[in-house]
Amino acid sequence: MRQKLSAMNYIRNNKRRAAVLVVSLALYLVIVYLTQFILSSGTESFKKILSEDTKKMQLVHLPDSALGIDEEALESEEAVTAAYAEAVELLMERLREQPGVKTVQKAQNMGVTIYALIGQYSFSFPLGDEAFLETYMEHMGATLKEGELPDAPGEIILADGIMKNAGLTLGQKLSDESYQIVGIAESDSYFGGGIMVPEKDYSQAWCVLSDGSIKDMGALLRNMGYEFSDNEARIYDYKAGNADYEDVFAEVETPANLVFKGVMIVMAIMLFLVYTTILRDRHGEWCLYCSIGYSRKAIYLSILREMLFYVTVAVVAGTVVTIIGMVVLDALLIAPMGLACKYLDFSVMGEIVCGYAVVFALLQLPIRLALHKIRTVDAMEEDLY
Amino acid sequence: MFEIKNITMIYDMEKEEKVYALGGFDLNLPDKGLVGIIGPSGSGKSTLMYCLSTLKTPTAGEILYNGKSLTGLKEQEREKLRRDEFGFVFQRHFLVPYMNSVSNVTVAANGKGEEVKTRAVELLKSLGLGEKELKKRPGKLSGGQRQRVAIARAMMNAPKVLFADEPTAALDHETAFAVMDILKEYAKENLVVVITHDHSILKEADLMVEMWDGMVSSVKEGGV
Repeated sequence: MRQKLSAMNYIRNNKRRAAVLVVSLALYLVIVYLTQFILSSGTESFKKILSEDTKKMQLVHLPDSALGIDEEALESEEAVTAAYAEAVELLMERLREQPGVKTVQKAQNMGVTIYALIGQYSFSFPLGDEAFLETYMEHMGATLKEGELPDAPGEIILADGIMKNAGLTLGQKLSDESYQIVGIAESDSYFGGGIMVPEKDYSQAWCVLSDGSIKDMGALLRNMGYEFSDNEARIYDYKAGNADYEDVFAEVETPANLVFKGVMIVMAIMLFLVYTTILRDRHGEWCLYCSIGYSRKAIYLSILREMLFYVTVAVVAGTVVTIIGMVVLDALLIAPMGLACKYLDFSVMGEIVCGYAVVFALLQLPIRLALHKIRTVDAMEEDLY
Repeated sequence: MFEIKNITMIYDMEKEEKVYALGGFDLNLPDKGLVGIIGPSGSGKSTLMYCLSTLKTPTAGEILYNGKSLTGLKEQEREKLRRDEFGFVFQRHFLVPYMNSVSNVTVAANGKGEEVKTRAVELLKSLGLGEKELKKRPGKLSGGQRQRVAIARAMMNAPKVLFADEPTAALDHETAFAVMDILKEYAKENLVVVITHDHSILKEADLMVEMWDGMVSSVKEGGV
C-alpha cells in the first residue's frame, strides 16, 4: 500500500508560509465577525425596546379632530375644554374595554436618545401618576436597583442602560430642571418612567399597557370609530417600533456588507498571490512525485489536505481571537455604554463559510493549472538541453 | 526481464524534419545484474531508459517486461509499476528542497509509520550517511551525500529494477566509485540499469550496451 502524500511534511518545513496562509484566513474570520459584533450593538440594543416592549406598551397621541368635538356648536371655551375632557375619558374607558388592554393612563411622553457604536435611536417613555408608575414598572418587569421610586412630580427612574449610555448620575436634574433622576431601575431593556408634571400635561397622550396582542394600535382606534390620518396622530406601537427596527437594521447593514465584501476581496487577493507563489515553487516536487509513481489525483488530494489543515487551524485560531476580542470589546466599550451586543450570529457565520468557499473555489484555478503543468522528470531533463 | 522489439522513438512527429531518438532495434536485458548503457550525449540512452521505465511511450515497437507489454498500459498501470517495481536515480537528484534526508527517502515509500522511517534510516546509514546528515536538508549536503539520498529513495521499496541516469555525473572519482559499489551490491539480487558516458565507472558491469545515434552499436557481457 502506498503511503499518502503527507500534507504535514510541507507545513512542518515551511512554517512561515503556512503561517501567512493561516493568518490571512483567520484575519478574515476575526475582522468580519468582530465588525458584526460592533455593529450589533445598534441592532441588539434597540431590538427589545422596538420589537418586544412595543407589544406590551403603546404610546398614543391623537389630534383633536379625531375626538369628534364640534367646537363651533359649543358656547364657551370652558365648554370646549370640558367636552374634550369628556371625550378623552370616554376614549380611555372604551380602550380599557378592548381585549388585551390592561391599563390606560393619561401620560406625558419623555424623549431619550441611545447612542450605539454606530447609529443612534430616540424613543419615548411615559410619565404618569404614582399608582400608574407602580403598575407600569411591574408590567415592564423593571425593579428598583438604586435610589428611590419617584413619588413627586418631575421625579423619574431610568434603567441602568440609559444612565450609562447618556452618562447620567443619580440625583441629576434634566433639561429645564423640571425633572430629576431619583432612581435607577434594574431592567433588561431601556426602561424609563416617572411622575408627570401637571403644568406640562398633554391631555391627548395616553399610555396603554397591554398583554402583547395589540400590534397595530392605529387600526384598533380606527375600528373603534376614531378617524385620523397617520400624519396627524403619533402612535408608538409594535408596528411603528418594528418599522424603526428595520430602519436601524438597514442603517447597519450597509457598512457591514462593505466590510464583509472588502475584507473578502483583500483576503482572496492575498491568498491568491501567496498560494500562486507556493504552487510555482513546488512544481519540481510534484514532477518528482509523478515520476516515481504518484498520480495527479494523489498530489491534488495532498494539496486539499494541506488546505484543510490551513482552514482548520485558521478557524480555531480565529475563533479564539474573536471570542477574546468580543469579550474585551464588550467589557471596555459596549457594556460601559449600556449597550447590548450579539455574540452568536449564525447569518455572519454563514457569510464567513461562504467567503471561505469562494476563496477555495478561486484557488482551484491556479491549483488545476499547476496540476496540468506537472510533467515527469524525462520532460524536465529534455528542457535542459 | 526486458525484451525490446524494434523500438523507435521519434520526437517532433508533427514536423517535417523528424528527430529519431531511438531508431528501431532489439535488445534483451536480464533479470538481475548491473547493466551499463553507454554512449555520447544524444545517442538515445536516456530516452531508452525513460521508455523502459514507462516515463515515455515509444513511437513504435514493443517493450515486454516479464512478458507483459509496457506500451499498451494505462496511465494508472504505469504509475503502479513505477512505484511498486521500479526505482529511479535521476541525473539531477530531484530531492525535495524543504525535506530532510529521511523524509526525502520516505516520500517514495509504499507504506507508512515507524517501519518506513526505520528502513529509510537504515538505508541511508548503509549508504554511508552519518546521524547528522539524516536531519539535513539537501541544500546542506554535499553532491555525494545528495546522490546517496537519491539512491536510498530509489531503493526504499526494494524495486526489482533500479534505473540510474548518470548517477556519478556530479561526483568526484572516489565518491563515484563508492556509489557504483552500492549499485553493484544491489545488482546482485536485482536489475540495475546505469546510463552514463563515463566508461570508467562500468568496470564491473555484467552487461554493456553501447549506443550511437539512437541505435545499439554493441552489446557485451562484462564491464569495460
